[in-house]
Amino acid sequence: MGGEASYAYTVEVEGLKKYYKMGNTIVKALDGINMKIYRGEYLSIMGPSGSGKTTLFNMIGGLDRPTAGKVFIDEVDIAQLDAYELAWLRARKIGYIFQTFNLIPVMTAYENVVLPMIFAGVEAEERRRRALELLDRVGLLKFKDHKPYELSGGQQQRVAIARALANNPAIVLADEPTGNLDLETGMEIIKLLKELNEEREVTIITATHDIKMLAVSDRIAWLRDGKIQRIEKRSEVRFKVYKVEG
Amino acid sequence: MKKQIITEGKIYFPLSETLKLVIENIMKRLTRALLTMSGIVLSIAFYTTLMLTASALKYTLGAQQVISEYYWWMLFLAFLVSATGITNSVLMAVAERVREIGTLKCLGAMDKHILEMFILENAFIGAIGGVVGFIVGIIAAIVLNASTIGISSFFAIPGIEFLKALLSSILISTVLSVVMSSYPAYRAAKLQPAEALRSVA
Ligand SMILES: Nc1ncnc2c1ncn2[C@@H]1O[C@H](COP(=O)(O)OP(=O)(O)OP(=O)(O)O)[C@@H](O)[C@H]1O
Ligand SMILES: [Mg+2]
Repeated sequence: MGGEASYAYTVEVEGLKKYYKMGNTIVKALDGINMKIYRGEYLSIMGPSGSGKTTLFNMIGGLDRPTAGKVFIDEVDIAQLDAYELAWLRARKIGYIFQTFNLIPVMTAYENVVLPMIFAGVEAEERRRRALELLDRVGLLKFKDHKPYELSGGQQQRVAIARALANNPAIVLADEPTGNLDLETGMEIIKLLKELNEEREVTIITATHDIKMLAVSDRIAWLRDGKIQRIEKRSEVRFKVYKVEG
Repeated sequence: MKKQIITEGKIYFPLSETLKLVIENIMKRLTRALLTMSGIVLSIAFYTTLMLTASALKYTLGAQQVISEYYWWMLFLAFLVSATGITNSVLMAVAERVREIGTLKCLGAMDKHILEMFILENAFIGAIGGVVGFIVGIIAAIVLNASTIGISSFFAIPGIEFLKALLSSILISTVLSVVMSSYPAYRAAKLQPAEALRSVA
């Protein structure tokens, strides 16, 4: 289909490997991953503990260097970026969400949302406007002056989501965003992520073993022992589930 | 065929924002800051006591060489102990905040921003430690010398001597603190984000 079609992908992963040396043995955390992620899609990377989800998250997010292979973000090979460009990518192109929320403990909810905009050099007035709008959107305007320890897990994750979106990133990477939340709160967070995915057309990539994620994902990549077993559309997954049940 | 990234705009962390974060960090983690500071306070107090006692003797008795070599060695040892204490304490502060550093890097912080943050934080802790140490030192000098050379001899010391002692206290403590925290700060700055985020602390 030529060059035009490649613009549909916001992330491309080619032959990605990450090996860790542990004494005499080599742990193959990622063992030859190939995948293309569409702009604006909601992709879940599912896999058991130790399958390599976090490692893949780190590679796509430019947080770690692969042993072999390449990651392209909007057609740019991120291995070729210098420290400055990498910081730029992390600040503006990608928003990160973690299982443990990782808010800055000494800052209020509002200050946490403002922080990435400071790095990106957004004007003070615009920072204020966007932070308040985002906190309102995630339903936490009332809690804007609360410190993280004064918020519940679900509320902290909402702040983290607002923070991840502050610089209007093309991609939001979420590593087990519901891992520390109860069933209902987890469901709310998943719903919020899906809504933001549709409203803002932001690509969402979650690493998870939360089956609730299946319902909102456009595609699911099944990861096992550092390899992608298969990538399915949601409809295909439903089909199988029904078949098993029937 | 693949293109280069277009980095429109910049990555900033203005000093005013670093300062804000640094001050909040010191206040919210006061125990840690006080621990780092305690060694500085003690050694600066010792220094101030020696200086002021020397001044008092000089201006009341006209004595010149009043502090024995023994005390200078003691002072040197006090600074040595407080210096290693600072490095140790800042290493621990960095360890406590590894995940936070990883998060900051995800948000766009560069190595130099993290370095700046820790250096500035410890410059503050050092400066405050210098002031507190100076005050403790004055009190100690008066109390310790009350029965020998008498309190009144301290009133004979010209104001400029106090000022000199204060400024040198702040200067010594700040420089000591910055120098001794530079290695832990450098380690913090060099942390790899993926590794830092794995930390359980
Ligand atoms: N820094 C490291 N040093 C050594 N081994 C590592 C390191 N990081 C990951 N591994 C190993 O790589 C494999 C994949 O780890 P990873 O954290 O990516 O799994 P995961 O799918 O995220 O698991 P979980 O669901 O428990 O978070 C594991 O066997 C892990 O022990
Ligand atoms: Mg993981």
